[in-house]
Amino acid sequence: MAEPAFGAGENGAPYKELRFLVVEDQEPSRKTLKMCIHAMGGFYVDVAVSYGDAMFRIRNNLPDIVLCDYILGEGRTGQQLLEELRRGRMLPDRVVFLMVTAERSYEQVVSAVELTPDDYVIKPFSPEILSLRLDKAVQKKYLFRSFYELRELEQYDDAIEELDWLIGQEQAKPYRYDVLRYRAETLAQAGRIVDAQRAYETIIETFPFPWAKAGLARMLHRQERLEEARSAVDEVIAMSPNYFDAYDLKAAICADGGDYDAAQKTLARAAERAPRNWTRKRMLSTIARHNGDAATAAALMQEVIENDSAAGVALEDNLNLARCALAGDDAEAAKAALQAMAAVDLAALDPAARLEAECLLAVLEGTDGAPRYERLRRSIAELSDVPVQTAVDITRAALVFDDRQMSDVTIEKMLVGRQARLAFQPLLAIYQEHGLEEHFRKVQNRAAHKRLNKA
Amino acid sequence: MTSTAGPSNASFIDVLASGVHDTKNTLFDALSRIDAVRRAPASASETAELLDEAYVAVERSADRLTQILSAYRLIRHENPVVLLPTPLRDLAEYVRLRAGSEWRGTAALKVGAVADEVWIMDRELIADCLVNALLNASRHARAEVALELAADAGGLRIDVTDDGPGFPPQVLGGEEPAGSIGLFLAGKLAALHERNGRRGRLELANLPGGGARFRLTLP
Repeated sequence: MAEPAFGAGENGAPYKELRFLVVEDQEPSRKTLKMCIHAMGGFYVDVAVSYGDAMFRIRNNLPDIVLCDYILGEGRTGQQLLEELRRGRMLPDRVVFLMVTAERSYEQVVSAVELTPDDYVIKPFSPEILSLRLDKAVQKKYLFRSFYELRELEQYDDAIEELDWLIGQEQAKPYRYDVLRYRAETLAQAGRIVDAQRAYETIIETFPFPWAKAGLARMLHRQERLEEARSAVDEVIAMSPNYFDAYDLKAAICADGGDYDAAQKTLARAAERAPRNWTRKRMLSTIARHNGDAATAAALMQEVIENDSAAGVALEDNLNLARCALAGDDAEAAKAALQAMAAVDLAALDPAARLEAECLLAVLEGTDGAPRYERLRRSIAELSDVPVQTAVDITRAALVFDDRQMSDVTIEKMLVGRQARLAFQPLLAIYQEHGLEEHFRKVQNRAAHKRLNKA
Repeated sequence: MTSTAGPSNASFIDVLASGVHDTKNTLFDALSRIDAVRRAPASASETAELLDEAYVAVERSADRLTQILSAYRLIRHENPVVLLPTPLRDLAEYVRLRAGSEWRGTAALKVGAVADEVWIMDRELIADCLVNALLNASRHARAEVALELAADAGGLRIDVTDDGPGFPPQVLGGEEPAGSIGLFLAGKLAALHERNGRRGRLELANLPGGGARFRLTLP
């Protein structure tokens, strides 16, 4: 967006120059919004009739102003769209994003989320009210324009300096909290986690905003201060029960602390209320599986694959289906998963995914899988810091092929490492399957000694 | 949080009932006018007048039902307010636009001094409440209804004043603290704004020179 945006509404009709995108699945509301835009002097208006349509249009022809309805049909929301766009860096900060909603519950969401629209307007509204909101949003964009630019260039220290200058400016007075918030966010982006934590704490001292508590919880989580992070995120959920990202954050905190039970319960609560969020259901399936609830994990994977495989079943989904079958001791399902994976071109995968896939295949092939496992051994031995899921797959294969040395080395590395609590329960479960719990405890003791010596 | 704020829930049910009662009467009123147009063909100007009256009655009923629903939600939900930083000048402009579109009668709507501050509040509910207070005042005012927002260490004071006959004594005397849904809601809403242990409040007063003052104070 070029400079002329500033002062929109004050000096006539600058909206004439700006490109609008209306995102709304309902025809009558689309018409109303277009009418409002024309009434305030807007001229270039593009429309998107669905979530996917909006993604396509924004990618191909970036508008200056997006007016987006909160409810977009097919279980998608404008908030999801905003988050996908901003996280994917498809929507620069300078573009105005205004949410339109008839739902008062959206305000609960907006008070908690990290990625907020520039403003929202509650239906029904007049063209004058829409214009008021847009004027303010455009003025804010102008005020923060240098900051946005610096942050986009990842010049975080300069961006923070710009904010420190802005906070003293008269025209920034109405945006005091935006400045404080941008500051905390940018510190986190710059990797200055402790500074970001303090910035959020300072904001909370002024007022306990749910978004600031959520930010604080994230910063504490990143410092592995799990107890404090958990109590902060619990407060967010109490204040904003409709802000489902907080449930995801809490689940991650709980799982990192080894409390898979709480993690599963938390995610299940969110999944129940936002049933078409497949990313969350995938996460819930994994958590349930690690928590020893194979039946729930398998049912969730089935549901995800039935509903979210428009472009073919994702490899990771097939791997997870296989893992669920193995965890649930379901020979039929395991065979089906093996067949589904036969089409996968293993050579095309990245090394970690390939290793996981091959471990699972070897196990599913039974005795026929022994040569495959032998080939894998060497690449496994070279690994150092692996994700928990990879360690679980390796351990299972090693125990199936009676390679106790490999499995012990793998679990000991995990139990000494920083993901020890996250890895504990799923690894123990595999040893238990093979009647080796006592042996697991011995390795666990050894790991504990090593951890103490390191500390 | 809600149980200690404002009138008790028992009196709340009475307030809701009286709101439903009023709405019902207003709707019957509209119905009888529409019916008159349907049954007896009258002159075009007479018909237009009847329909106008019916329109206003239905509009008022819709507003009141919205209020009843808001009141219900305020009581029902544990934490119904959404507190966001709100620039006061934006709020004043928003309220002026909304009240202006439903303004009836001859009194002028004047926005007086508005502090250049940002305050933490539930923007939408406070706006609903102020629009209602302004429209209410417009029905009693002679010449002018004014909105002012002043901020200092004691909090944010939002005044809606008019130059009408003032509040009836039973409303001021506290005998009917929840005399109307609108006032009831305003009191509840103010009390739900809490900061550092201080709560908002609603004060009604008659001015020495005549007229009524509706004052919301938010911490």
